[in-house]
Amino acid sequence: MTTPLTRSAARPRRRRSGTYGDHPATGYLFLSPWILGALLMFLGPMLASLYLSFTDYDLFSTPNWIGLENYERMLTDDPRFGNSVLATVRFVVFGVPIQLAAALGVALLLNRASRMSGVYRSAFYAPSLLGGSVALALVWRSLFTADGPADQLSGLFGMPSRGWVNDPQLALAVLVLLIVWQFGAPMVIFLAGLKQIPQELYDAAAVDGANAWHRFRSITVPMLSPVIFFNLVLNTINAFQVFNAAFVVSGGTGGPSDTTLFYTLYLWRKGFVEFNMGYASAMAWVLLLGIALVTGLIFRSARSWVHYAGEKR
Amino acid sequence: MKKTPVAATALALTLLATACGGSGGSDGETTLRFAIWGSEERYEVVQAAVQAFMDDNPGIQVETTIAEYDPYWQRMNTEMAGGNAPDVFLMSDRHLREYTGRNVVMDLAPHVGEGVRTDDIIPQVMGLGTDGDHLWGLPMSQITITMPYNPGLWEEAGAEAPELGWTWDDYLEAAQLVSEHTDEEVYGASDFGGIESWFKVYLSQKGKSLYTEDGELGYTADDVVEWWEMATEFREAGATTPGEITNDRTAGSPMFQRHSASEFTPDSTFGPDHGEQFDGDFALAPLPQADSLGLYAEPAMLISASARTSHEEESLALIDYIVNEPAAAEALGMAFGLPANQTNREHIAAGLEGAWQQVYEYEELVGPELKEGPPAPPQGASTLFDLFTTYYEDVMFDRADPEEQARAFYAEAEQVVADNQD
Repeated sequence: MTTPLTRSAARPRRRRSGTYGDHPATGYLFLSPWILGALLMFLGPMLASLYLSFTDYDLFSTPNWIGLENYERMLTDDPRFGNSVLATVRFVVFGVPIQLAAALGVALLLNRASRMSGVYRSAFYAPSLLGGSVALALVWRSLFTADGPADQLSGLFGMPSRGWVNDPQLALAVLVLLIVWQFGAPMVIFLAGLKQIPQELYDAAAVDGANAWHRFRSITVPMLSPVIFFNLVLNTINAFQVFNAAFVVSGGTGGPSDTTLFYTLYLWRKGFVEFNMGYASAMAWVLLLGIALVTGLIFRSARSWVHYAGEKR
Repeated sequence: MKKTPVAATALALTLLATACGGSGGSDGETTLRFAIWGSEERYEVVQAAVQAFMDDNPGIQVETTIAEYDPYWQRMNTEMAGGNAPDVFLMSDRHLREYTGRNVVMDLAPHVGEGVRTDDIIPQVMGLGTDGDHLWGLPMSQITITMPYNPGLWEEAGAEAPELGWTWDDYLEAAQLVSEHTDEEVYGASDFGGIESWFKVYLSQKGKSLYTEDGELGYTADDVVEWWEMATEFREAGATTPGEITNDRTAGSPMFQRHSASEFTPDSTFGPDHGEQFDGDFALAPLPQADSLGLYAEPAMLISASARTSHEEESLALIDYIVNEPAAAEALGMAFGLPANQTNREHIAAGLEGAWQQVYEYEELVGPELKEGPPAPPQGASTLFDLFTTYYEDVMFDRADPEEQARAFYAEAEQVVADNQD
C-alpha cells in the first residue's frame, strides 16, 4: 500500500531537483507532526514504562528501584500470570487459524465472478470495521448470556446451557467466535491476492486433468502463501493484544475461573485495579518480547512454506 | 480552495476561544462533582437529596454520577491517579486504606464542629472513618448483613422458617427441601462460598476476623478450607445454585432472577418496593450461625472528599448535609440502610413502608446482638476481595478441590498483605 505513495512523492523531487534539497529543514518541518508524535506518544512512554518496570510504582508515590523483582515474581510466583498467558495463547492458537480459514474460504467464494460480488464483499467486510468496538462486544455478550439466543439454539439441539459467558468451558469459545466473525480485513487481502494469480495456471492444470482440490492445493495455496504469511503475522500480533472484547464480555474480571483473563486484561487489572503499575509495566515488556519471539518464529518457519513469484527453489 | 486553511484556522480558533470562555463560569457558581455507586433507585433518592441541598445552597451546583460497584472503582482509581477525582464520593471500607495511604482523601477532623457535625451520629459507626487523629469521611448509614428469602415457598416446601439462633445445618436442610420441592427449578439458596463479606461474618461467628488491628490476616488457611468445604457440601447436596447460575449476574442476583429462594446481602440494597418483585413473598431473616450470630453493625460506606478539591468549603457542606440534614434523610430513606444520625433515624422511622419497614424491623430484631464493626482493613483488601471470588470460581465449577484451592488462596493472600505493608 505504501509503494505508490513513495513513488509519487519521489517523482516531483527528481524533476524539480533542489527545491527541497537546499532546505532540508522544510522537509523536517513537514515531518514534524509525525516525528513529534512518535517521540512524545510512543518512544517517551515506552522508555518511561521500561524504567517503571524495575520499580514498585503504585500510581501515587515516587517509584522505588527494585531491580528485577517484578520480572522474577511474574515468572516464578504468580499463578494468575500463568492463567493469563494460557488464556491468551489458547485464544491466539484457536482464534487466528480459524479466522484466517474463514477469511480464505469466503474470499474463494467471492472470487467467482458474480453480479452481486461487490455487495457481498462489503457485507462480509462490515464486521471488521466495527473491529474492537465496545458496542459489538456488548451485543456479543447478550447473545451468549443466560437464556440468550445461543442458549436457545443449543437447547434445540438437546444440549442445554446456562449462558456460555458464565461457563468456564465455553467462555473462551465466545471470544474466539467473536474474532473469527471479524474475518473481513484478512478476507479483503486474500481476495486481492487471489486476483493476482494468473488464470493460465488454472487453465493449464485443468488441461492436465487436475480437479478443484488439486488446483487449490498446488496452485492457490503456494501462489497465495506470501499473503497468507502476511495475514498470519498481522492477525497473530493483533490477537495477542485483544483487550476490549475480553473486558466487556467478562465485565473486567477475566472470569469465569480466569478462562478469559487475557494478558492485556490482567496487565490492566494489575496497573489500574491493584495499583501495581511497576508490575504492569514489566508485563507490558514481557508481552512485547513474547510477541517479538512468536513473530520471529513465524518468520523463520516462512522459509519452508512461503513462495515468492520468480524465486528460485 | 486556497482560502480554506485560513477559514478553517479561524473557525478552530473561534471554537477554542468559546470553549475556554465557557468553562470560566460567569455567574460565580461552583460546580461539585459527586460520585456514588449503586442502583438506579439509589440514584433517584440521592438526586432528591442533592436537589434539596442545591435549593438550600444557591450558588452550588452538584453533578451526581452513578456506576455499579466494580466500574465505579475502576473509574475512581484512574481519576485519582490522574489527579481529577470527584470532589465528593462514596468510599468503601476495603478501598479506604488504599486511598488514605496515598494522601488523596481529605481529613475531616479539623473541620468537625466547624462545618461538619458529628455530635448526633451514633458512635458505633464512626469507627471505620476514624484513624488516630484523622477522620476520613462520615458514615452514610448503619447496616448489617441479612438473608432475604421467600417465606411462602419455604413453607410450601416444608422447610422451617429461619429464626434468630438457627444454624448452618438447619440452613442446609431447609435449602435442600426447597430445591427438592421445586425440582431444582428454584434452589434453596444462592451459593455463598465466593463472597468474602459472608466469610467475614462466618469468621466473626467463630470469634475471628478478616483482619487484625494491625492489618494482618485474622484467620488461617484452615478457616478458608472449612468455609469452602461447607459451601461445596451445600452445592453438592443441591441446596445452593450451581456455578453457571451463581456466576450469571447479568440480570441481577440469582434470587432476584428467581433461581434461588434465599441469599445473603447487606440490608442497604433494597428499594421500598423490593418485595413486589416477589409478589410479596419476601421476608428478611438473620444469617444462620456457628458459635454466635457474628453480625456487625457497620456503615454501608463513608462519604468522603478529595484532598485535591478546589472547593473545600462546598464539599464539606455537601457531606454534612447528606448525613445530618433532615431534608436529606427524608429523601434518602433507607436506601443506604439506617441513617447514621440518631435524630434522623427516629425522624424517618414513622414513614417507612414495604421492604424498608422490613429492614427497620430486622435491625430492631438483631440490634441487641450486633458487634461493632472492625477497623478499616489494610491496603490490598480490595484486591483480596476480588481474589477470594476468583479462587472460589474454580471450586464452584468443580475444577479444583476446595481444600487445595483454599490453601492456594491463603498463600496468595499472605503475599498480598505482605506486599502492601512495605
